Amino acid sequence: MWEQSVGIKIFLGFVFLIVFAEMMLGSILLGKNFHEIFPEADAVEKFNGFILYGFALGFVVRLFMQKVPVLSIQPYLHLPVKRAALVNYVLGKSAFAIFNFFPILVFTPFIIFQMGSYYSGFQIATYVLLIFFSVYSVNFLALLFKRNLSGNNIVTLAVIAIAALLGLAEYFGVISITTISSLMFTAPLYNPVFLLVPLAVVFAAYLLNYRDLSRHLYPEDNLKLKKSSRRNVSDFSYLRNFGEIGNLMILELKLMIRNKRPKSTVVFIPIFLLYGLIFYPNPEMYGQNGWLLFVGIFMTGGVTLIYGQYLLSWESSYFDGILSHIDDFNLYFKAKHNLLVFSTVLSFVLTLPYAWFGTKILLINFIAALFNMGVSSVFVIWMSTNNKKRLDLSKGAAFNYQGVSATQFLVSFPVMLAPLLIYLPFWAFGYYDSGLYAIGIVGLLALIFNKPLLKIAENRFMERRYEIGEGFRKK
Amino acid sequence: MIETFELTKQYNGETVLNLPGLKINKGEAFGLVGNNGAGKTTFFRLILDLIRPSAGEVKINGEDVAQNPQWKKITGSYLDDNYLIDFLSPEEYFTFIAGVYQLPKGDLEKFYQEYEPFFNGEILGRKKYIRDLSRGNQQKVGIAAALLPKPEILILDEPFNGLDPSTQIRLIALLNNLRETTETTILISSHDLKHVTEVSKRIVVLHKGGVYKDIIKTDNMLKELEAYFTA
Repeated sequence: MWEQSVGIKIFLGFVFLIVFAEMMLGSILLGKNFHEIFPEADAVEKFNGFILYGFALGFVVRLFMQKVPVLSIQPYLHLPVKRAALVNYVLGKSAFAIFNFFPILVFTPFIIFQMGSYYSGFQIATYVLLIFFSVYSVNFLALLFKRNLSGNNIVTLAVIAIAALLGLAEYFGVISITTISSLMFTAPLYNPVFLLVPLAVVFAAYLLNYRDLSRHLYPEDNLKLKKSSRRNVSDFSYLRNFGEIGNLMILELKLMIRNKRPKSTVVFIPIFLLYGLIFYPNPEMYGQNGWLLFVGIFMTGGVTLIYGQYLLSWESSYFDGILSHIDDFNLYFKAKHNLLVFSTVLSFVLTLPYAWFGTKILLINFIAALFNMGVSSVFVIWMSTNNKKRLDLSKGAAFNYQGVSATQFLVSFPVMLAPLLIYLPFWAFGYYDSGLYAIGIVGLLALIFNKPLLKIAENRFMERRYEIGEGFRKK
Repeated sequence: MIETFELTKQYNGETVLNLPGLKINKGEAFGLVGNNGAGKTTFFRLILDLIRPSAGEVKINGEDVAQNPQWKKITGSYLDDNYLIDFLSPEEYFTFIAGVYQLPKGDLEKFYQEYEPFFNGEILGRKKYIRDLSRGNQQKVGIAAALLPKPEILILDEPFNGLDPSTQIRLIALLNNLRETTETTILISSHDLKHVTEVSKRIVVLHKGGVYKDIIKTDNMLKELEAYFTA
């Protein structure tokens, strides 16, 4: 399906171009007309108020997307290369990350239009340096964070929680980050001494990174981190009574629990369950069936979508074993289907408290769950036969994009859209409730007839097993 | 028992394997040797239906391996660490394999007893996952798992690689015993001429994907092979 990946690349490139052009346009417009948008306040002060938020956003985006530069030091250790040179090289490379150039886009028009005429050249230079130091501070701080903490799910959730709390605090007027931000970035304009602060931060962040990398130059240090932790995980022995399917299901559960990457993927599911809190309290905006349906599908189908799209890739490291041992792939896929269905049921049970917002929501979530159990599960299984890239399960964290290709995002769309498509004709003719029931019936039917549906996926797998195996073998 | 029919495999237009009619009989102890790239692993992968032939087929007991998966229930194999489920402990892995082959309950216990010398205290009861074992021990686990179901066909790809000397000797003893006391069809590939001649009764030398020599064991076999590889 080589053409597919080229097509997707073109599509993505196109999207990127459009986004880029819009950003350019937006920043130019912003720069030009900023004082018109906020006529009461001094333009520069007001603008500076937002910078902190901008950097915070940048920080979060970097956590997701910035690659931590890693140089496998071992091949170079015995060469006459100074350790310092190696580390500085690795860190220096990171300075060229594209994220560090985005601020130029945003700041340049503003500086030209809003500040050019009012501030002296010296002040503008100071401002530019200020931004420069700040951007690179964020850069290195993000790297520090990623390298040390991104594998730790608790920390990740804590960061998100803190960010949310700060946002709420601002919203309710408890503290004003904008004021702080404004002060931070305006003060140096009048007193260049303050420039030393971001300068110090950059230095500190760089040095911390330096120390971090240098510490891990010796392979033994990394070996110490390898704990062969053997917690007493339940054996799921009750599943053993279900024969071969049980055997396979046990394996999959162990896979989810004992490996960093699937574990951190699943850990994010509770966040999905909270989605309802965004939508349900606003019945005026989101009260129609269409929205409620969307939320329901998302919440009950989170595991299916997130875990299911890599369904086969999770087992890529021992796939040859699977291929040579499993003679009945019907059972193999049935086991996976069972797990997806169970997870949907579990998710639904966890959304029961939302009944507080009304029984209609309960009904819709139930219908959404039915749809996910019947349709989404088999669809995701079918789509997983496209899996081709090997996944390293030990590289943890949600911030790891190994093996991700654009196709993964495309999987979620049909699943989300399908129920809405079914609903559409009913909605057009005003049969709102019947539309909902129709979706539920479709889900139920798919669940009842899952055997032939799974067979379709199984057949596709059998056709593609060689390509899949070969892709997984490539390290 | 295992037979190839006009079996070929090409990568990027280059033929890496060509076996028009190779026959391996039941109970045979079959050794496969050849330099790197000769096609040994490719051949095993084709037998195990892990890759698709460019042409032809492999049949086990008269059935095309790609069409009928019945051979999987009577075959035990270990090629490389793409077999190992590294987040399981060895015991869990063996239990899983036993489940897949639907072995009766007592078999696992007997297996642990039988293979205690082979494991040498380094595998069982260590409270470690397979990914935390050394490569040599991982290899041991893989080989043992292939033998666990007491298969009719045993396929091991370069099993002596990475094993320490004691284990190598134990493995040879194990395989010889298997050869002499059972009807197991044993397929071994190896870079180690000495080991492979000790274990096999028949040796095929692969050269650039084709059969160069197909010889039944003689006392001179080792010398003959060494001569070939010196050239």
